[in-house]
Amino acid sequence: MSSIQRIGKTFRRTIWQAIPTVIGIVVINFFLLQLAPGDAADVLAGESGSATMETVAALRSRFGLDQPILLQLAAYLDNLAHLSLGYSPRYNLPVADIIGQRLPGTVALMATALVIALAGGIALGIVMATFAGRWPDRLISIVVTLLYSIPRFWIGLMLILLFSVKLGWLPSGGAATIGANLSGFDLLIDRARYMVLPALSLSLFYIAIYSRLARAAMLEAQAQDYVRTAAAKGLSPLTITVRHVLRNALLPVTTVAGMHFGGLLGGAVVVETVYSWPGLGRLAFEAVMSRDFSVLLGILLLSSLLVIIANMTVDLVQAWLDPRIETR
Amino acid sequence: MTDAALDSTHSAERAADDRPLTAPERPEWPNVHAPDTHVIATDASQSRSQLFSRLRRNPSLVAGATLLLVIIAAAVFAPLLYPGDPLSMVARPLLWPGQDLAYPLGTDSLGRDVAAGLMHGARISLLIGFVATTIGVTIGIAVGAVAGYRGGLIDDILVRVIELFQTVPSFILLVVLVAIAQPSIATVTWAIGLVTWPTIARLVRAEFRVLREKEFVMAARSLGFSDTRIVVREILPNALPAIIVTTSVMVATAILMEAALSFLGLGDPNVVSWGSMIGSGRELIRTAWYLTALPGLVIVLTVLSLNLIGDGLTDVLNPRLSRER
Amino acid sequence: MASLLDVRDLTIAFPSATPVRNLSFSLAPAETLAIVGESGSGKSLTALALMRLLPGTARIVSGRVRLRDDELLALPEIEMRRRRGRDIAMIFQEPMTSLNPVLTIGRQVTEVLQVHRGLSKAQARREAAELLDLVRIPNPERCLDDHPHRLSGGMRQRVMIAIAAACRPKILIADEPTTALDVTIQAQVLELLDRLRRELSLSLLLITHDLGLVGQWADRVVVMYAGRKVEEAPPGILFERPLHPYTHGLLAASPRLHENLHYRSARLSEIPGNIASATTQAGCPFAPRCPNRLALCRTNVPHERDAAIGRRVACHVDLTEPSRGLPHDAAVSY
Repeated sequence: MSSIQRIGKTFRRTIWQAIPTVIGIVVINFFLLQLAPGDAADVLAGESGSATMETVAALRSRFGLDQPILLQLAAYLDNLAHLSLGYSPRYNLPVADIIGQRLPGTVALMATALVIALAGGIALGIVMATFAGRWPDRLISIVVTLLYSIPRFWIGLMLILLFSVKLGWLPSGGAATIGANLSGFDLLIDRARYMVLPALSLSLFYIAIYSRLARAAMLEAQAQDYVRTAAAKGLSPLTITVRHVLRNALLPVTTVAGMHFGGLLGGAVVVETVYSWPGLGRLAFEAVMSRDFSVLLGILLLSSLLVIIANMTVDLVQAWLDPRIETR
Repeated sequence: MTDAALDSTHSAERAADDRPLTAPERPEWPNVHAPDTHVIATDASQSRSQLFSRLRRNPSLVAGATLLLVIIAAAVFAPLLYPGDPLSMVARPLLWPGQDLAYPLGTDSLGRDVAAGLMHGARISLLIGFVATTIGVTIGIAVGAVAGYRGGLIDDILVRVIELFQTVPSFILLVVLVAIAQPSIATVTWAIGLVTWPTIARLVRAEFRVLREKEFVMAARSLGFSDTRIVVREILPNALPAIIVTTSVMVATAILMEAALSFLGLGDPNVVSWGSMIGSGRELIRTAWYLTALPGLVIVLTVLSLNLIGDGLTDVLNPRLSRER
Repeated sequence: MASLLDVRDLTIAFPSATPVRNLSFSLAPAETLAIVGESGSGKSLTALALMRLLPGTARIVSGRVRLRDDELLALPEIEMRRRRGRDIAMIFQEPMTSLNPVLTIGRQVTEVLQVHRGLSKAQARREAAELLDLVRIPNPERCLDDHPHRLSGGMRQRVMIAIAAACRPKILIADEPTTALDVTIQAQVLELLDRLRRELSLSLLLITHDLGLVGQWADRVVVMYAGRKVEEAPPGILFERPLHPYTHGLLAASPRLHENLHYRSARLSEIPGNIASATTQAGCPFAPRCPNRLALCRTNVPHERDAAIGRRVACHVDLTEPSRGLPHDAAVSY
């Protein structure tokens, strides 16, 4: 079976598996929305300022809020099917539009952080496994345990203190220089300068996780019989590591990378707040401050969907990396 | 590099080498309590004293436990050393650490004593960390035990629920829950417990699925013990090492979550917490960075102590788990 | 016959033990030499030492390994690497785990061709298909694109043999090549190895604990006990009239040699004691278990000596006199 076929098969299977999860998440969202203080009618009534009991009741019936809860759920699902997440009085925009505006910022930040975390973590893991038990391994182990214990928002503030306040090398917040009409390479550099600190703050914790895991996976893969076979073939240590050990060691790392994607999203909330990064996390913070629950729950729903997509991607990557997947 | 740190790597390898040895040392059926209770009990106490000596010799564990004890002591003695409300103004604002020896760690922009805040904050962090973990572990064990022991349809459904909770980003769910319920110590604690249980449920389910097939469980069944008794007396004790290891890391996670919530302004507004101290200090990071740095360092030390304990316990109790995480 | 491989006084040690001591043997061109011993006798470590692929903390303490004109133990690692897989190749006991699960069979065969013979990708692929055909794998072209998990154990071992034979090595080391396989497959794999030995005129070093295999396929047998060679002879003579008491015990313990039963499944308990007791004591390693030991055996290690033409033995007792030797069934009585 070729890898394309394998990936296709995995794709179909994961889609099917994702459906009940999506439904469950939608239902949870709906009930959380029910629990939230105030409904859309209250909000609209509050906006207009002079609402009587009658007008609120009229608004309720107009929005279907006086219907039995299952009918409301049906209406909610219908809205979702039309990609409508509700309306935010605070922004005076549909929730889906607001989230759509902020999504690219978060995805860019998370993608950068994930790449840094995987590259840094795997590289450190390889170094640790290569020197297992000797001083580079021990030194990195200590650093990694420390990284594992540092809150992301605090390391963010400390990086600002060092690189923005004390050294003045990098901007302390935002996503681009405001008013600077840049293009081409300059634009890229400008964006990168704003990206470095937030992405680093977000990734340090995951560098710690992935490096520990990569170390263990490398050591386990190195002890396998096929590595001895490769050595008996007369391959160089570098070829053995890259071709025979690394690919097998990457399997557990990708699994865990997928498992931590939700955590990465959660981390983005605090990191974006620290760096005033225009993304979903900062939007969530603003929504909490203004008790804008439709926006908040829209973010929860969307971020859950992002996790599902990430998990599916991991499954596909594994199907590509591991030919044995088809038989499972 | 310290000696303790050097040794910690050693011990990790030693634990790995010990792996094949631990199995034959154990009594064959360690948990059949039925007829030979006294015999089993002596075996258990022997292996228990062995276990304690291995725990005592693990440098990560000793370092972590010492650090944690210091922090617990700070939390316990906070009301004695700083009897007043840590949120009240006591001195000139923005005293730097060391500037006035009566306030060794300085004061914040409202003239509140940073040292008092840190010590009282320890109470909140540890309280929420341990209680939230207890809630999470209790729910997790209950769900995981039922799913793993029963199997079948109940298992399928519970696995779906666990997967569901693991799919929703837990910190965002936490923010939503706390925002809806209004922040207070109780709601924050419950919310953290509610978003962290799937970790332990998944683990317990996996352990139970393996353990329920073991001979000693079969033996207990054949003796006609009730399911409850089998689960609580026979299976759970065997799943405990894995649960304990994960629990120590969960306390660390809960403390980090509480700090992040308070930092975002979603903590209990009536108490001082490390996260809220950082949150209010960040505005002054250009002029008084110690207000941000000090509470953060304390969080790092607390979380580090718990992670070291987790690493140490993993080495000693559960070498099999070392590579996960 | 000039020897192709000459091993002299090879000693292998871990920090805490010395599992191979002063081992010497040689291998002639196109010959099959079997090294026989129970597990723990040091035979597999010897094989790995020849490849200079000893695991973990094991080290070659002393000795010489001469392949034609090269002293393998003195070669720089980079030179040794050039010889592995090209001059001296090896196959292992566990075909199920010896192939990399995530790479295609083709990739795993061609990489050795590319590294040692500098073939292009396309050339290497053609050659790999021929190699798979040589080891009688049906449909070799299709097999190249398969992954190892699709193949049975016997087929995987054939792939391992194809990889080992790819560069026409002078020596092929087979470490328990059939232990993990079904009895019917075992014979096929050994037939294949023997055919390759003849067709490619390579020397085969067969590491095994299975005396049945030895009788059928080996030209010469080295019997190892606790890291030392105790006896060496052509298999016919060895089975007919074993000299060393350990060989006696071994043969007595595998009574139905020609029914392909290896002695592990029979009653090895007929030699009292076990090999673990031999690792630390002074004198002859077999002394604690030996029925006719002398006082000397407890203190002095017996040196290897010629016992007859083509046979050598390491024992203090003069075993050449028929009266001092043990009858075949004597082992049963103690």
